[in-house]
Order: sequence, then C-alpha cells, then structure tokens
Amino acid sequence: MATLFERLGGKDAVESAVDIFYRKVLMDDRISEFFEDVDMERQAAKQKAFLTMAFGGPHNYTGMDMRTGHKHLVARGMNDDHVDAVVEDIVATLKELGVGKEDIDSVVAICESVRDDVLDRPKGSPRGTAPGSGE
Amino acid sequence: MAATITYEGRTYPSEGNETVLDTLLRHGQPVPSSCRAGACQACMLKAAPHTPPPPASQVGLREGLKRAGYFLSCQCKPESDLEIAEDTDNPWHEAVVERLQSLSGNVMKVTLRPTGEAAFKYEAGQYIQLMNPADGLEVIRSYSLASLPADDLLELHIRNTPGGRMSAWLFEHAAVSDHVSFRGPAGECYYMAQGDQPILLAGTGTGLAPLWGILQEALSRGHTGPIVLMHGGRNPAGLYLVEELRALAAQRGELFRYVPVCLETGDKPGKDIVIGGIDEAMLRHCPKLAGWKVYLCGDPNIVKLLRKKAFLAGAGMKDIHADAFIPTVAASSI
Repeated sequence: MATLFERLGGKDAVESAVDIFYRKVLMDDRISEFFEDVDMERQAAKQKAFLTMAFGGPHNYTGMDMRTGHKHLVARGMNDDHVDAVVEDIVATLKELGVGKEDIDSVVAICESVRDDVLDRPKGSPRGTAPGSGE
Repeated sequence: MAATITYEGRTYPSEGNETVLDTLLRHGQPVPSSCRAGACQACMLKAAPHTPPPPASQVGLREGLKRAGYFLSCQCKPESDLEIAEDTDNPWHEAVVERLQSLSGNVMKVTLRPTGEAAFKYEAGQYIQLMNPADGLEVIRSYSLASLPADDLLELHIRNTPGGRMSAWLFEHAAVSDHVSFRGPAGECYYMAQGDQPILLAGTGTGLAPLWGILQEALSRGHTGPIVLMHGGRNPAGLYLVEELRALAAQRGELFRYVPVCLETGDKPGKDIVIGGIDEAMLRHCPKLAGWKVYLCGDPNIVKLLRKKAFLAGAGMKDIHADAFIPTVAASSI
C-alpha cells in the first residue's frame, strides 16, 4: 500500500503542508518563540524534511540528527508541553489537508517515536523526565 | 576539525570552526568578500574536483557553478582538506560606462555597455558583481539589474553609501567610457509568475532596481494578473522614479498599482504617499496573499519582516522571493 507521502501527492503536497504547519507554529504562542528569528527558508527546509519523514517519505534523518539538532532548544527550556503543541499543530495541519484518522494516528506515532531524541533524554523515558539528560 | 586549505600552491591550516574565507584572510591571503552572509557571492571560489565543497556552502549558486565545485568561502566550514582550483567557469566580462544619471539626492543610475562578443544572459531582477579598475579584486560589490535581458545595456541603481568604496568610485571618479568588469548573473528574484498570477513587488531604497526590472519584464511579457509595487523610503526625498511609476499606474489602471510609502512626510509629500511602515501598508493593500507571487528587495531587516508577514498573510514559502541587500563587512573588522 502506498505511503501517506505518496498518497498525499509527494514533494508538492509536503510543501503545501509545510506552509500550513509553519504558519500555525508561528502563530502558536506556546511555541512560536522557538521558531522566531530563524532564517525562514532554512527552517522551512528542515520542516519539509521532517514532514517527509513523518509521512513515510524518503529521508536521511537519524535519531542523532534529531537529538543534536534540538539541543540548543532543550538548553532554552523546551519540554514535553512544547512537543505536545507541535504535534497538535501537525494534527491540525493534516486535518486541514483532509487526511483520515488512521493516517493521522500513524504520523502521530512517528512523532512520538522521536520525542526522546528531540528532548535529548534516554529512549523510553516516562513523560515529564527532564530533557537534556542525554542518552 | 582542522582542515588544510590549499590555495595557489600554498597551504593554510584552518583553526577551530572558521570558514575558508576567515582562514585565508587570517593568513593574509586576500580573497574578495562583501556581505559575509552568503548573499552577494563576492567570495565565491572553485574547489578542485578531488576536494568537493560541503553542499551547505553552495546554497544560492546556479546549477552549473555548483556542479563545477564553486562555493561561497564565507559559508564554507570544511570537514576535510580543501584545494582551491583556478576560477575558469565564472569569467569576468568587460563593459564600459555608457551613462551616469542622478535619480535622486543619493541614488544614481549607472548604465553599462557590455563589450564582449556573446550577449550577457540573465533574468530581469538578478544581480551582477561589479569590479572597477581602480580597486581591482579588492573591492567587488553586487548590484541588482534594473534592465531587461532584451536591452543592450545593463542598468544599475547605486546608492551613495556612506564610506562605500565602490559607490565612492562611481559617484566621485567614474566617467563615461571608463572600463569595468562584471560577472554573474545570480539571484532568485526574477519574473517567474504565471501570466495571470497577482504579483506583489515590495522594497526599500535601491531595492527598487530589481523590482523595476521584474515589473517591466512582466509587462513586456503581457502579464495579465494585477501587479502591486510598494516602494519604501524614510521620506519622499528617499524615493525615486516616482513620476515614472505614477505615469505607469495611470496608464495601466487596474493592472498596476504603485504605492510609495514613507516613514516621515518630509518636504513635498504627494497625496499618494502612504505614511507609515511598509509592512503595515503591505497588509492594508494586500491582506490576503494566498496565490500571489511576492518579491521583496532591499534592507535586510525589512525584507525579513515582510517575508514573515507575507507568509502569514497566505503567500506560499516557494512563492516568496527575497533579495536582501546586505551591507559590506569591512575586512579590517575580523
């Protein structure tokens, strides 16, 4: 069965998804500070890569990339609540794109699978474990 | 990781996390540079085939140059030894100064006549790097083209930048029939809209140059979608081509709208001049930008602000093309 990435429409669909998602995070007061003041083109490229992976498309991300890539945000206090907000915005984006519940659940599962990498703590940590404690 | 840079037969060890540009300058090896931010391409060098540059240092280069191993030395942090090869694929072209004309108190139109055999190919709105005989490779500056590829002549709008070496030469010493060299083109700000797509052109100061080029190109290609051009200056004296743009708007009616915007009223405000920030003016005139092509040129902070606001107003990320005019970082300040 084709991946969500393929069924949504590949790269072009991801670009539209990034436009919708990026607008949501910029306007989401819970997390916008982590996205402010960043080079927008570079940020959009990272989101494109992440959403491609989350939709089951071709990507080069490793857990280590997610870990090192977010360390500076962990240092600024990023925690489980912020990750929740991002996942919420991804879900809202998918709903806007007309994606069905089953696919949304798969994407959420992929996001959850990198939560501990993003928050730089041991894999399988209970929710609320201090970010930044390393692997 | 410390890598060794080889340049013209000499080796230069890098230190810490410095860029190739920093390494070479630190050792007293002159390399042209201007913005130090990966935008102007003055610091472009070519890597030898056996030491390809990291792709991150090739962002913004046209495909042919990327394949040939060119990279921006101010953006290049080599992971392994890098050998610089002779610059054979990005040649300098020759031109003569055809005309120097004042457009406002501190903006001059510089018209160049290329003297090479083959016509210089570019898209309206792209930029070139300019070198003058007085300073040679020490002073390379990037300027956006305001002319159209169909023209024989290249047109630049130059601001008399305080302390600017190239603008000082142009304003104080340059004369008609002087020789200059240029290379390029580069830049992503050029007409690429669908014929009926609405276009927003917004810029400050001499950011008007590429926007003027894109506007003329769109009109010459029979663009049918509405075009809005917003030009911002501190006060009306900081604007230019005002009469030409007013005339064009009167002539084109609904197809083209010209919105001059100033922070201050100054001496002779026209009644069409909007007073306020260009970002607010943009959202008042174009509250919904979904489906629009947006071109932003000029002051880097304003370009960044307009990009974000245009995006939030619905313009797609890939439909926003920006050319930030980043000022030169003096070599002595490293």
